[in-house]
Amino acid sequence: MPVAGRQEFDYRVGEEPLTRWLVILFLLWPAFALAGLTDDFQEAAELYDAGNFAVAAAKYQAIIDKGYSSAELHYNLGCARFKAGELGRAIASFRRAQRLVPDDEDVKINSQFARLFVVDKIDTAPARFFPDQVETFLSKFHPNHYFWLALVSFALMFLILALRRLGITIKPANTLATFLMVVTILATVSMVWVLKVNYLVNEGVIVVSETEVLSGPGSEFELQFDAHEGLTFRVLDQKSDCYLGLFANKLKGWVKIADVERI
Amino acid sequence: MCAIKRKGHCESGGCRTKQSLVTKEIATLSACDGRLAMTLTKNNCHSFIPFVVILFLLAVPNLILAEVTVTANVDRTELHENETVSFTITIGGDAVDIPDISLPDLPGFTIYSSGTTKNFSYVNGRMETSKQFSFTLLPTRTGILQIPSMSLAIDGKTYTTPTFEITVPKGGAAQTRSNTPSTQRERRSQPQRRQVGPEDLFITTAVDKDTVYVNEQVTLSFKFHQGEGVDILQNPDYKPPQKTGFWVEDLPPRQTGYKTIDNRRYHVTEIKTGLFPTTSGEQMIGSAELTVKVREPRRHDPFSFFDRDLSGFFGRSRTLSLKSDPIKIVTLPLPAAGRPDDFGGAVGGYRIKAVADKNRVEVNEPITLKVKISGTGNIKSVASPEIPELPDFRIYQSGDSENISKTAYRVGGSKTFEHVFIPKRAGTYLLPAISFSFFDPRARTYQTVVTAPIQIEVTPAKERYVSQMQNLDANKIDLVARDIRYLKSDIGNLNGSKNVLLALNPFSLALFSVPVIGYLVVIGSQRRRERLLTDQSYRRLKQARKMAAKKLARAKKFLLADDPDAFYLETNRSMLEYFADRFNLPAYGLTTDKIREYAQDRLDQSLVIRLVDLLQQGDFGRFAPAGRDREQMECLWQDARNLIIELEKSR
Repeated sequence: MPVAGRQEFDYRVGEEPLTRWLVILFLLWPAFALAGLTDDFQEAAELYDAGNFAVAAAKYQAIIDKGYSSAELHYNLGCARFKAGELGRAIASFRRAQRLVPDDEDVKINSQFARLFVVDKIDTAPARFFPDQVETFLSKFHPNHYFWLALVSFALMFLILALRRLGITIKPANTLATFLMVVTILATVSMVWVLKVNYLVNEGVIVVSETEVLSGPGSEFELQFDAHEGLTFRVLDQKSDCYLGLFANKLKGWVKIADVERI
Repeated sequence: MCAIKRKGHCESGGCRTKQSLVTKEIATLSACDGRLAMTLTKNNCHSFIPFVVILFLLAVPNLILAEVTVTANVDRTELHENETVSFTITIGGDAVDIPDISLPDLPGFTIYSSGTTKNFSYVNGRMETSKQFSFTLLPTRTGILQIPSMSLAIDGKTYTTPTFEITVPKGGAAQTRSNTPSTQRERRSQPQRRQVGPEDLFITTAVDKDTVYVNEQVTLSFKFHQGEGVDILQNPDYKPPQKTGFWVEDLPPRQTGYKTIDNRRYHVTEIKTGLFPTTSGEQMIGSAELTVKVREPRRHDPFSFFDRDLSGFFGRSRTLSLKSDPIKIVTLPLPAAGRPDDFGGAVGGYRIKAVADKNRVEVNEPITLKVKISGTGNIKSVASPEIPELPDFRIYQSGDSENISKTAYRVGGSKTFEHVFIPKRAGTYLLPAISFSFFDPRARTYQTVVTAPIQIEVTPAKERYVSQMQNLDANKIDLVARDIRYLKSDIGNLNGSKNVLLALNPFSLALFSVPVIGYLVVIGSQRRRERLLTDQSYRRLKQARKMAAKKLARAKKFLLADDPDAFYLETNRSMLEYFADRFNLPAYGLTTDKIREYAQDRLDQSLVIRLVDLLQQGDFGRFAPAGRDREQMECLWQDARNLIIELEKSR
């Protein structure tokens, strides 16, 4: 039955490549998607160069809204927002970028520069010399750096202990194990501190030119003070349409959610 | 008062008693007037659970009997000249949530917060908290002034403070303290009790000139005079004057020394500040204020002990508020006549210098030009000089830095602007002179300083500078007049590892268990090895299967080699020795009867029967050659193997 055999042969030829192509498409899909994102990213940069900052910002935001995130994206969005006159939102974007790459010089400088334009220069309590130095140093690293340092030193410490147990002695094993234990503890403490101070805090930035900070969550409450665009605060609570904020000088007050961008 | 009694009896009729029988041992809780006493017999001290229950019960009466007391008082109701009144609100008792208190505006008073004190005490198993809010009130007018009643909401209840009336006779209100000592001497002659007066402590503010140009430095000098013999109890609280309309530069260091005024020696502390008016017209430097607490001589009043506070234990203390006069500054506008086009608002005396890091470059090889402006004046406000357009160069600003000096209390220093020049074509070029204009307030004219032109030779590019140029473009150094740094050219690692905080990810945290598990495995294997070396029964048990497998493998060889005698012998030995190893018995002399007897309570009987049966088959094969059949031998081998596997499973 040559005809039937041929039909069967044709059927197989037709099915196998289709499946194969689907598999290839599935595997390469992230690459295609990334290529599209890179094009959008470049387009946004061109818009920025052309002085069309608001549109460039919208383009960057669109990439983020698709569920993608990187320090570079947030940084560029911050630049575009800053140039578009959205000081508060720019500060929020720079802060997000800083959380991802705390040691990046560009992010740090642009963030500091943007903050110079904030009207409210609320005094903070003077930091003591030693903790300030330590905090500055610790903040340079991402918590994941501390995580890996803690994990590697922890694993090495157990490796040394295991080798010693097996009779393979690395001299001086005790000193080395103690050192690794100290490194593990320090890395863990640093990680917890950095997480607590920079990552596990709810922060908000005022994104309107001026807003009222009230004594309670509603317009019927007393005015505490006026806050201006770019002022960053810690969000302590949320009630109805207001956030309870803790500001740098330890003042507390309620701000409308609509006037704030959460970081 | 609380009564502490066993068995839960309270002697005082006014006491409320709460009993709790925790176990047969008795725990007695007595609560009286919010105080709690606990008696435990010795026998139940070792029991943890009753203790926890007791702790819980301890807390309950505390909450039920919570009492809050609010008291307010003033340290005096009549004030003399320059005196202040201390107003204190104390919230004590069991308040859970004590709010921060700030006073409303009190007509006739200036309010200074003196701080908050919090105390905890634990009395008879009960915690008490008290928080004291202190305010220093300075009268601003004379007459009878009122501190009105205030309502405080604490833990859902409202408490009211009483109204206080403070009498301030004429001359009692705060006055400006910029008087000269000679006028103060007249006041000293007034009949009054000898106390620290204006001639003992005073402040002054002064400026080096009261008419200046916009952005020209005015040096404000604040001086605090402390007469000899006057004791200050705390660091004075300095409130600098309002300087709206001025750019402010602190001028350290703070100077201290002694000065004699009208035959009186004073310790003088001087703080200087550089001010640069930002707009023309009349500007006011506000009043400086200093609040200082001084020790006063002891009064011969036997009942005055309770008036003293702790800081002034050996004499009365008094808080004085000193205030200086505001100062008017006339700021002249910068003249319009003769103003250069490139004038950017700099006032003072400046020099300019430009240096290129290289004079011979290739096309696209960057040259860094540093333009340094130095001199005296508000250096921070100096703007970048204009860089002329050069069609043969791409020009980028790469940053600026400043170095501020405050020598002899004059603000100055230098500011360096860096620019990157990238030649587009080969040839010899001249970077033209860069000019900088400023207004010289001493000469009252505009002046322009210029740099010397710099010759640059540009040769055709080699490949390396082409690539460097491409990199430079990719990095996109900030263009001139841009302020923030430029965009990143790469989209970066999208949703990379840094987007996930590993410390909060359970899978990542589980990685920490790997070294621990590995270490435990090493310990376990090492202990096993040690036991194998020292414990013969354990070693035999662990190696039983291995040894049996070896013997079975050898039996298989004999089977294949068609050596039935050896096969049966080896198969039987594999099973016998396995049994002997398994139960740490000598293999020698082990018979089927002994096996049956020994394994009776130790093994499944079906396995025992199979074992005995196979051993008998083996013996039969060995001693009855007629029954030797290859198929039967293979079957025996397979059964022996399976039996050993099942015996292993039954361990």
